[in-house]
Amino acid sequence: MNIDYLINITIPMLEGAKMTVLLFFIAIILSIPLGFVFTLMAISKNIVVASIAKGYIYVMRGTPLLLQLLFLAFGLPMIPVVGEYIVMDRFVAASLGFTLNYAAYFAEIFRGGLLAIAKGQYEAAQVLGFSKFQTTTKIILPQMFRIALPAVSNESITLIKDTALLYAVAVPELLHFAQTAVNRDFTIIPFFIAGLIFLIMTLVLTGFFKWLESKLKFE
Amino acid sequence: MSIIHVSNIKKSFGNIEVLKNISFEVNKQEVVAVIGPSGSGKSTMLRSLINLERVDNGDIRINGDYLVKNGKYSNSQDVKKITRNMGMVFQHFNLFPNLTVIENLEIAPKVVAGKGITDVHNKSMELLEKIGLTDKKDVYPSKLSGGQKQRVAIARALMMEPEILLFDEPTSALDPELTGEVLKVIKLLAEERMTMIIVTHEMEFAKEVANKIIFMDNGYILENGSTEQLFDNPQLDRTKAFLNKQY
Repeated sequence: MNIDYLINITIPMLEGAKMTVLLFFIAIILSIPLGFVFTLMAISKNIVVASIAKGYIYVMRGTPLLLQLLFLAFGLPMIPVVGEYIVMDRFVAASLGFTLNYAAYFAEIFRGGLLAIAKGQYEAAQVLGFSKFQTTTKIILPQMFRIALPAVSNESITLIKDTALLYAVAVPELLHFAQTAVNRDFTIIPFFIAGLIFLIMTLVLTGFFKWLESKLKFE
Repeated sequence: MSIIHVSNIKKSFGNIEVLKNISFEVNKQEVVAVIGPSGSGKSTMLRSLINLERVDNGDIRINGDYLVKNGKYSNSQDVKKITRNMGMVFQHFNLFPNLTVIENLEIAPKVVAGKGITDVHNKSMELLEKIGLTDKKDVYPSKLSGGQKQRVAIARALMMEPEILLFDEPTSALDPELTGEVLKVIKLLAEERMTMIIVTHEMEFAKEVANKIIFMDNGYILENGSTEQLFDNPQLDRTKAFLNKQY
């Protein structure tokens, strides 16, 4: 066991971690706004619109993420006739799967945030002459996001760890390289390094959200 | 000249009729206190004036324009324009917690009325001075006492330069020792001849600041008259009983 060996196995794992980080940012940047769209749909007075959003949330939360990823990466191309046209790059398929799945969770988190805002906030905005759009963007969204922040933070940490599911759709990521090294060299060291890399990523994320919460304390 | 003209308004929540044929007028520069037991419909009546509740029947005219005529509301554009003449102060303040004191004051004139930053800022500083909270201008509402919050809420309403101010139990959510500072600001506005309708349980305050009293009970206006007349010489036994219980 020497330093060179550690460096040699860590470098490919860090390469793999790039995939993890890339997927994390794609999923978080797309699923948060998409989730909010589903929130607005779910609270809509239009029953059809609300039902679509609720049905979507139910399916996405009610089935394993792994199943959804396998379906997108390997299932879609098997559909007769149209299947051959919807073959996606596996990383693209995974990004789509993560985005669609996390949007459902964020939709519920934001819905909870909206419910926590007092009716008086809408009334105060109304009597001051705010339009619905102004009320939403200036008054409601900032408060909703603040209320939802701890849950969003929690969900983000889950997302970072869930990226390990890339392994199942054969996108070379952190765990893939760890596993390769373990099999090749008969050592469990790579698993510890993989764990350490995840811990560092969650530490950074936790720190970021802690900072964000203090920024948005409204005190 | 009457600035608010209400006739025969009715309002039900489900099967419960909360406003039963309410009619009254408010003249410019009058201060009207609305008193009566809890559940008598005072707040619902007040909220109807600024379109926070929709009445089922009757007329509401503000400055001559119909907000609602025979139970039929004007189009939303007009409703917005008509209610713009009024400001409202709530029992629970309803300050925006995500904005500082000065931002709470300035957001509506900037965003809604599209006024220039300098004008808005001059006005907000002037009002902060008036309510005695200049030193709190950059703090968030969570750091204020109830009395301070309500003073900010009054200033926020005044920023839109309303002709009429509505108060929905402005001191009911306050600790007793904090009501004074809020009532002082309202008194100041009364001295400036601001037209105000104040739903309140503070009888002493009503007596001191109002020129007209409306006594409501069970969805009706039972008595409506000058302050002296209503407090010193109430016509109905029900009014006498209510006033006796208050002292």
